[in-house]
Amino acid sequence: MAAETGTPTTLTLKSNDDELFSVAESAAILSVTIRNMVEDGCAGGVIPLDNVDGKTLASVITYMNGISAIPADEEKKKSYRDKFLSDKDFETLADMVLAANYLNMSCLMDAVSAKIAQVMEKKSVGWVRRKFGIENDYTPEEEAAVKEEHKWTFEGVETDDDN
Amino acid sequence: MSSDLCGSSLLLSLPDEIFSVITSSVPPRDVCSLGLSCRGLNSVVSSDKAWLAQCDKLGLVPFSTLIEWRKGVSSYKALCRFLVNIQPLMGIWVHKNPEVGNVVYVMPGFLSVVGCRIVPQTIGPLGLEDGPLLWTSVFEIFCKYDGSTAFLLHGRERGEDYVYPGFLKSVDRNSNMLLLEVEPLHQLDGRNTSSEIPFSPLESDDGERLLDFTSQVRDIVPDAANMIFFPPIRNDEFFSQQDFAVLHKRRLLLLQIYPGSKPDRVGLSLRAVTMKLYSYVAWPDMHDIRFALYKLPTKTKWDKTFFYYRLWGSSNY
Repeated sequence: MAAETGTPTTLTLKSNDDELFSVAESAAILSVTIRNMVEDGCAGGVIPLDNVDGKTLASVITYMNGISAIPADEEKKKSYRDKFLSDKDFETLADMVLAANYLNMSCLMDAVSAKIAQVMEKKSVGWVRRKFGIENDYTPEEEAAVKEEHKWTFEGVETDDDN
Repeated sequence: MSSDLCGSSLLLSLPDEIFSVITSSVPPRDVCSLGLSCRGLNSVVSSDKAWLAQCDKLGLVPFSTLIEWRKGVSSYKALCRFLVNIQPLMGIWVHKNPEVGNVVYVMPGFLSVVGCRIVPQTIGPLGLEDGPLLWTSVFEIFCKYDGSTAFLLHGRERGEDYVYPGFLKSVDRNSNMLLLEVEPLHQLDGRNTSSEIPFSPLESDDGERLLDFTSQVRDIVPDAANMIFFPPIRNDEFFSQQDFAVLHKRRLLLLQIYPGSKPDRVGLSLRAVTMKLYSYVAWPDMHDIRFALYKLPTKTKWDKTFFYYRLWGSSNY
């Protein structure tokens, strides 16, 4: 363990499309998955991350480095996270939430989930279809039935009769 | 933007557990907007995981209680529908002169919410820490299998316990007044005349007539079932699986008594409405002539010190 010599240990991570990345161990262990591998002594060579592609892993490592450089100040960490996610499109966010889940990084997971939820919040069905290019595959009868079933979520008031 | 091209497959590719983390921070309406957009997404957003998260987020009952309650309903979505519906009822409701007993505390029961009237009593120097409060149940609103509601007014007369079936008519999201109303039903002959007689315009002695009226339609709780409907005092505080079995059984028995969505004899109904009220130091200005309960501003968030589960364990919580 290099911690004893005072020089920071560097880990090599490998994405599922065979890109290699070097990252400081102190930043990488934000991922519980990686931390467990390090603790189990599997960090000697290259750590393969089978569920993350190179593009996403590069992003995650940027985040790891950025957030671990900030001292224990939740306000500053939060504003870093907000800034980090502000320019990501939906596809990237979806990839990142999957990566954060696989890497077991709760802080990134929560932040990306909240960001995705923000995109979906207070949107009409029509907006959802346009935004995500979803084709309406309901028959009019089915759609009416599903609407009826969820009426209670759309109204401020639920009535058991039809007044 | 590339996200415009990715389609529903991107959303569909998210595993259930991630989806429920994401949707847990939006209200049920937004979850349903996704489901209404296409069949594939509807099956994703209908997952029990997503709706368990929604139920939990409401903060009305602890997580472990949700798990137990799930056994009596078709899905967490159905349970969520019930919880969203009754949420505005939770808390303290008062009428004029609370010191003579006009305080009703609405709290979770078992797959239900219960209105408890606090019996006027002398409390020792330690206040609530001194011992249990005397209370009596006034009404209970059950969650049926599909998440709809069943309203039962509780009563006691000459030593007999009664339940009067009625229905929960509507609950405003920000309701501050609770009205008990009666309407004659003519549904059997096809006419549905809206000759509704709310309590509010009745003269005070009409209230007594109403009591006569309801006494004709009450259902006497059979003696054998009494122990189940109104369980006797318990001393221990924690529920065992056996207790839960009794509570599930009690609920099913009461739902059997319940006449369904169209009570055939009397339209006794509960309605929570929003009225413009004046208040002085948070105390609502109450009308003398209205027979209604008024909401006191209160926190409804689940509090661990709130031992709701003792409710059925004793008649003097």
